[in-house]
This record gives sequence, C-alpha cells and structure tokens, in this order.
Amino acid sequence: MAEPLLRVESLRLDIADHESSRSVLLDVSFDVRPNEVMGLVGESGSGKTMTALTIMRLLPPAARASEGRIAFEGEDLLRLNESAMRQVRGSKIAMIFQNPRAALNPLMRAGEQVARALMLHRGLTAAEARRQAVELLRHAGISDAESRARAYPHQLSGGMAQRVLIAMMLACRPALLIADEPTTGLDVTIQAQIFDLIKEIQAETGASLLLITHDLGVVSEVCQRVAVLYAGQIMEQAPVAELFHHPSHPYTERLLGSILRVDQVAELDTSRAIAFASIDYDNPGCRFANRCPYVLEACWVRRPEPRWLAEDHVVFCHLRNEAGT
Amino acid sequence: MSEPLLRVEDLHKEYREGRTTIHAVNGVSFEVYPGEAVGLVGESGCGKTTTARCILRLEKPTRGRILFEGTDLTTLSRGQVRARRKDFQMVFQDPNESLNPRLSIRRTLREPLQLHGLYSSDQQLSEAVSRVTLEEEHLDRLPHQLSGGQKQRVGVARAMMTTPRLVILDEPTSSLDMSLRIHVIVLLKRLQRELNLSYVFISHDLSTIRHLCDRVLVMYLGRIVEQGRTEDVFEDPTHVYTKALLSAIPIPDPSVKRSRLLLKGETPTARLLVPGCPLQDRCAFVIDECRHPLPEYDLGNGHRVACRLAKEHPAYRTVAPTSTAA
Repeated sequence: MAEPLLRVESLRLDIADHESSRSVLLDVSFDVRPNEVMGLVGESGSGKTMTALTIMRLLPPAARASEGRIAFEGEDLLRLNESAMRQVRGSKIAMIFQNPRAALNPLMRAGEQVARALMLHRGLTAAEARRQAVELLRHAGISDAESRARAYPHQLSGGMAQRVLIAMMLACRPALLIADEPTTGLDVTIQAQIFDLIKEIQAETGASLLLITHDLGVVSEVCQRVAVLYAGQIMEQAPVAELFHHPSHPYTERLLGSILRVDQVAELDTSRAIAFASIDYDNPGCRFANRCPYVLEACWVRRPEPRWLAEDHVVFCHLRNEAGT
Repeated sequence: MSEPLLRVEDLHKEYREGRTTIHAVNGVSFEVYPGEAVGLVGESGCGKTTTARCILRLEKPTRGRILFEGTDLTTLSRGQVRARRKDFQMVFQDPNESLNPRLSIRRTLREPLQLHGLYSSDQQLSEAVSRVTLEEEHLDRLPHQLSGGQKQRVGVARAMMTTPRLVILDEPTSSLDMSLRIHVIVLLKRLQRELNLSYVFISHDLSTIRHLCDRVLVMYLGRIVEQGRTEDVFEDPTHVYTKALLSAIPIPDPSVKRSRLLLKGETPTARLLVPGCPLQDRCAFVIDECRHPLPEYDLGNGHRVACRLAKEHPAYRTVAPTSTAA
C-alpha cells in the first residue's frame, strides 16, 4: 500500500478556560492516502472541525495539541515553526470552510483575492496573476468570470463565494484539500453542483481530500473511507460501503438508525436511534457510554483497544473486544 | 371532505427595494384541512417563509385572501389578529433567537397564555413540559442552561400552550443534529395526534417533510410548481424542479446509484416577473411554450404540476380548474 499523504497519530487536543480543561480530541488517529477522499463524520461537538484546524495549525489560543503527531511529507506539522507552517498552509494543504463568505476578505474584489493567492504561492506578477485568476474562476464553474472577478464578496451568493474559494485553492495546487462542511448553508441543488466540482478538481489534480461533514448521505456519495468521530474520540473507521453495511460500533449503528431517508419511508423508530442525552466528555472510558444501549462495566473505566475487523476496518468498542475473545 | 381550516387564495407579497419590486410570493393558493400536515418545501428565496409570515400576519400580504376557519385574516385589524393568534402559533427555526434569554422556561411558557388573558396553573405548565419530554426541573432554568434540542422543545411547548388549531413550523429541525432530528419529528407527530393539530411545515429538508407531512407543496421563485400527496410527489416527481431537487439529495446508502438531474446556474432574484415557468432559465427541457403563461396539469388525487412535461404523464387528464400559475 502506498505511504499515506497525511497521518494523524494519537492526537490529543486540550481546550482550557479559566477554571477547567477538557480534551476535545483524545487519541485521534487516521490517515489520508494519496488521491483519495477520506471522510470525517460526526455531529456537533464531535471535534471534527477542531481536527481540521489542528492539521492547519489554526487553533484558537486556548487550544493546545498536547499529544500525538501529524505526519505530512516526512515532517510533524505540530512541530514546524510558524514560518515553515505558512509554507505548508495554502501551498501544500488548503482548506475550504463552512461559511465561504466569512473566509473571504469583504473589502477586496473576488478576482483580486484569487490573484493574491497566485502571487503568493506561485510567484506570478500582478498582471499575470489577474489574468489567471479569471481563468481559475471560470474553471471553478463561475460563468461570466470577468464580471464576477470584479464583485465584492457581499455581492456573491453563498454558492458563488464557495466557488471563489475553490478557485483560490486551485491557485495553490495543494496536495491535500480539507473541506469542512463545504456546502452547509447552501441550497441542495447548489450543494450538488459544488460536490461535483470538488470531485472533478480532485480527480483532475490528483490531490487528496479530507472531507468533514455531518451528512452521511454526502459520505456515502463522495468518500472512499470514513472515520466516525464522537465527542473527540474515533469510534470506528472503515471503507464507506463496509461502514454502511456492517457498522460495528454501537454509535455508528445508532447514527445510521437515526437517518431519515428521502428515497424511502420507514416507520420512525426512536429505539434504534441515539438516545437523548448530553455528550459526556469526562468519562475516562468510551465517551459514548452514557448513551450506549450495550454499555459494559469496562466502558466507564478505560478506552477500548482498537480491534481490526478487516484490513481497513477498525472499531474501538469493548463489546467487540469481548465478543472477539 | 371537511371544510379546510386554512385556505390561502392567490397570495402575493411584494417588497419595494429602491426602484425595483421583489415578488417574494407570486400567486400562491392552497388549503390545509383539520389534522393535516402540509409541507412547504423549496430552497432559499422561494418564498416559503414569507408565505408563512403572511399567514401569521407578521407581514401584510400585497394581495390575496387568507381564510382561517372562514375568516379572512387580511381584513382584520391588528388587535383582531392578535386575538385570533391563540388559534395559530409558530415554531421558529432558531431557538436561540426565538427564546428570550432572560426569561425562565416557566415564564416563557406562561407568556402566550397571559397575552390572551388566560390563567396558567402549575399543573398546566408541568403538563406542557412533560408533553415535550422535558422535566419539571427545567421550568426554572434559563434558555442558556439548556441544550439545543431542549431549547427547540421549549419552542414547541410554547406554541402548544394556547391549544392552537394550526401550528406553523419554520425549519424547526434544521439547526439540530441528525440524531436529534428523528426525536423531534416523532414528538411532533405525537403532538399532532394528541392535540388534533394541523401543521404547515416549512423546510428545505425533504427527508423530514417526507416523514412528517401528508401533503407537500413545492415552491420555486414565489410560486407553487408542484403539489400533491407526499407519496405521489416523492415517488413520482413530475416538475423538472422537483425532480432536480430530489435527485440532488445525497442518499446515505452506498448501494444506491442514481443519476442526477442538474440545474444550470443559481436561483435568480425575484425581481423580474417573467411570464411562464419560473424555472425556464435553468431548465434543460425548456421550449417556447414554457415562456408563456401555463396552467397546472391535474394528475389526480390533488397531484398538480405546473410543467408542460406533465402532459406526457400517463395520469394526465385535464388542466386543474383553479389555475394559480402566471
């Protein structure tokens, strides 16, 4: 198997406020391989955005990656100094965000922002950058690119703004794209267009994509492998078809049981869904224990060892470990 | 069939923006029968929220009638509307914005009754919270001490306080995690049955609509382009817009492979009123006919479609009598 492009190993991230500290990520490990779409799926509070921000080293001041490493091109990103990290950010790893308009400079025309990225990352002259910026906007599916290049972000729709960010990303030719809920807040017909565009660009440039989402439909249609994150812990990781057809962690199983499908009606059965309760970040064992229907003694005591069910399928659950022995 | 609880007739709402006019709602007509859940679905800017706000008289319609139990709400004075509001309530999208952060849950739930000069006993309040599966201890909390799902249930409980006949729900599940959504839907279904409520459920989330609503109205650019029983619209979408909308939703099942019907470009603004189909500039099947005023085609069982392709549908017999299209 090819060497992974990015490998996150036993990552722990603590966020402290004036009185307490909480690990919002604990023992998070996964990798992204060359030319693949890897999904990171989780609900709010799962730490999926924090994982992306840790990789990009764009963490808020109160957050600290206290354990683990993030291997990328032979280096540990957590140990790079700020100027080396700046070389990685944008040129090698680029990120698109949930709220595209907030990620753009409101005072600068869209084309100018793409041109700046070209000047910064590819060393083009201003005139050449401006010409190519329009080209990239067109490549990102913006019709009428010349006039859109002159628009300010507030004059763009959410879908257009996301296309501008994608154009900026194209300018950098990164090896890894991180997309954090890139279509949340966009209309579903626009979402479909954006995902088609992202997949197209990914296939064309051979970049890898780490896609962060809460939407299992998106995971199913876009990703090859997926890691399921709950309360800062990886619960299960598997190839997509494997995860949907043979979910092995109770959380995954219940998450799939919570889905309302648009293409079929089923009797709504909350007994197969995740129980109503708040996330228990303080449990030293499995953080899903307080909502798990099969909870064991051990779940309150220690984190389960990984159990490999197949080459790419790993689950962290005492139940599976007991069943297996 | 019984008399409709709500009948919206040729509703128009226009806004002035400088020298231009925005046609947010452009001739919408529909009925809601007692005990029925009607879904109003569409993407941003389609006019679904404006329609709801007109029904609640949070906006004054430019034209059209809104008959609630036979009374035209558009002709009532503010005071008269306020008195009627007891019978129609709303659940808002974002509980963080719709709950007063300084009011305890107890006071939040009491308020709608007080506004109508009604008395609220402690028993009523504890019933109200238990109805939405909250505990009595939650009554003395402030909104920020509750989770998102709990706050949303307070919003639901508040809307039910005056024992309304009709509840309008504006995207009540869209800020919730998937695992919470199913609980809220089950709760809403149970309340509907127990309190014999009618719902107008506004959402862009078609999966929720499919599981909650009896009938669905698909809106695009201020008009209803397709309507019918939920089953008919989802299993047999006939307007190109409905087809595109449904095919754009990713299915959480890797064994399902579908072809996608993509629309060109983005939703235009509702500034220019063009005759004919509102989708004409994005539709791949557009012909000259689509640029002229078009009727709704009746496919039976209330399944009506404002698209010329409906004429090729095997169930097509006639043009629907009450044409609401431009």
